Amino acid sequence: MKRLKKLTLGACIAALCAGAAMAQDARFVGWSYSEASSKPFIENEAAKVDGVDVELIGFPWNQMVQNLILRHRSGQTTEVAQVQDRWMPMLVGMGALADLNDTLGADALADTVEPGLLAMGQSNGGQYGVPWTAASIALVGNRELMEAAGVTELPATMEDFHAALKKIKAADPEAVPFGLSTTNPNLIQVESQVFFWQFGARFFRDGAVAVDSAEAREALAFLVQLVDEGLVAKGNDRNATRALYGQGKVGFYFDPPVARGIARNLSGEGEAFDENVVVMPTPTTGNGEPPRSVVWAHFLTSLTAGSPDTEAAGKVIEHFAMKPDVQLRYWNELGLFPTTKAALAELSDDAYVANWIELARDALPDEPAAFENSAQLTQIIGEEIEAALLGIKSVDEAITDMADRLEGAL
Amino acid sequence: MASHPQNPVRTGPVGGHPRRPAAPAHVRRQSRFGLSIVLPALILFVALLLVPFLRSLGFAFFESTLFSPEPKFVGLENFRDLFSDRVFLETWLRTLFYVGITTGVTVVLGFAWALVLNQAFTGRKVIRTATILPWILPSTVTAFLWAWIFNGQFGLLNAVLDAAGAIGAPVVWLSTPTGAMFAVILAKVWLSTPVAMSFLLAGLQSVSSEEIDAAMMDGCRAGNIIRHVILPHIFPTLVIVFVLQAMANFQQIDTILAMTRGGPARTTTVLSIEVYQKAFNEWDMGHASAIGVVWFLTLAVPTVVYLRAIFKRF
Repeated sequence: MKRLKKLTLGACIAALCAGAAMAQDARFVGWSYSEASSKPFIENEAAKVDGVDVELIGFPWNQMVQNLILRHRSGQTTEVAQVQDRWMPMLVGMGALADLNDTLGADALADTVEPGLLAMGQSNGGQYGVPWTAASIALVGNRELMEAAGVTELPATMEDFHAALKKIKAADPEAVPFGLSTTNPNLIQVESQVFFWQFGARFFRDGAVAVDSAEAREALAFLVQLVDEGLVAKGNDRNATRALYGQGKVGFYFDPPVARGIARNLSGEGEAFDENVVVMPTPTTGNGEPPRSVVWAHFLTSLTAGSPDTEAAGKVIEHFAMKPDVQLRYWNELGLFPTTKAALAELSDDAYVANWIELARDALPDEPAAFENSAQLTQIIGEEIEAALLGIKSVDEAITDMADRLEGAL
Repeated sequence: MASHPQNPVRTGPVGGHPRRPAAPAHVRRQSRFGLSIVLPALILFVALLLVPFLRSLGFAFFESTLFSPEPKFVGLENFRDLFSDRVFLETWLRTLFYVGITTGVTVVLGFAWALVLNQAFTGRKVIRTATILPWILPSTVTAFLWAWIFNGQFGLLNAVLDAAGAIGAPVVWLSTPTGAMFAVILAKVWLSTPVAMSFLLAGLQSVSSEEIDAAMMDGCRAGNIIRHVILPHIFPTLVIVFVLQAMANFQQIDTILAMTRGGPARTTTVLSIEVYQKAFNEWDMGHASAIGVVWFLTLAVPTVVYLRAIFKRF
């Protein structure tokens, strides 16, 4: 009897130990968990990750990067972290992110994830983030407004674009033909840089300031001309523009793929408004630069600090970012684009998704994001462009001052 | 001559200061009582204000960003950066302009309104109460109210001007340097005038009505009564109100942040916004602290000098 008791006790202890060994823990830090719209989805999916107890930690988007850096510096273990594309270079540079090729396998990643999107999370041969949702910030047009103005084809060149804007203004003087942000330096920088690229200008080349160029002046002069002609409204930012777009009062504006979902809500027409929402290539200038847009992606990463359970991290990332059914649920519930080949294939009939993914192939990463003090650089660029757009400075003064200030900040 | 035997014997060091006689027991008791009353507030002041202030003062001499693992001592480099930066110097001058205009207009309006409310007329109590309302409203609510008034597309000001035929097209007030600065000054003046008025009204009520009556009987005009009778009486109050308002305007951040975020193109960026930007957007604590030190000295030095001079006179 005694022996039997001992055996039973031993079996119980062994079972407990085995259970403890099987249940892995992972901390998943992200801003989406702090947002009411995506919180239920993340909670549901986190509960489904095989053999891992996922502790969810949410921070608002605008506090996320600071909290990630603080967690890294203070050695707090973070198996999985949601990271915006523009923070990636800085976090990789700090050595804060683990190479996920070691955890998930380069071949498995390449087999599963759309190659162009997967490449966004690579740096120096390492895979530091797996795209959870990705596309780009690109031009969105309003088909109904264009047709009403007699714009029958999407403008392919800057001349066509200029002409289309004039037609829209002539057809509806109260409309904002182009809803470029002219207030809020952060938005101004992100949106205007697409035009700088299209004209062949860059803010930085090889880590040095390169904005003091004829191409940059040409790009800024073009945008200033649009403002002066009333084709771009002063005092607008993307939020105000989205509201006007939903009311059919904006011809074109820049947005990530959430544009269609927002337009559904703000138009009050729901999915019936979808046919108006058209994503389009940025008009070109004939200098060989393909239609550019700005990389926009949410990555799942793993921080190196503390003692992360890399296997648990891999399981969580695999569940959220590599399983097509989970990705399609994310798309259905929140309208965020999937990143796996299989999930994208399921959506190939949706022109909105297909066009956007096609455009994203020529998207470039946000330029200041490559630097540690990207917030400062973004602010400087945005302020100087804003000064030119509002007529506070001439184009030449704005570009010269921008170059001087960027030199001082690097 | 021999010293008087009953003279007290000096016990202190030869040639030194005589030892101060011990305070009587009741004075010592009073001192201890006074100290015990002040002590809790003093402890809170040291813990919550002085220590953080000195700590942030110390940061001004370090390179301290979110990306530097440990703060690195750089001496006066942060200050050298600031004073060699044209953009910062413009911000500093803009701050002086904003504070000077806002404080001046607030004190003048507050004084004028206090003179009106010091008169006896029907409904005075109601108007006095209503005057306090802008002070009671949260400043961010006030800021959003003014931002709506000045909004280029849906704003009240444009609607009124358009209805009056004064403008042909909507004016985007907050996107012009002058319009934006005017708007943030107006919002702050609107918020602060009731406070200034309350102080000055209290000061006016201490002015002897007999003196004013006598001046009037002597044929003195209203302007002269204000200049020669009222102003000398309430001058110390006026100075205090001016200094308090200047301090508040130096520290002003919420209305500007809510209305313009320091724009367009930095034209309403004052030192408070600059510190916020450096500290909480760029996470550059060293430069933010250095700006804080310049900000503090800009306000503290003239205030202390001026107040000492004023209170010596009175």
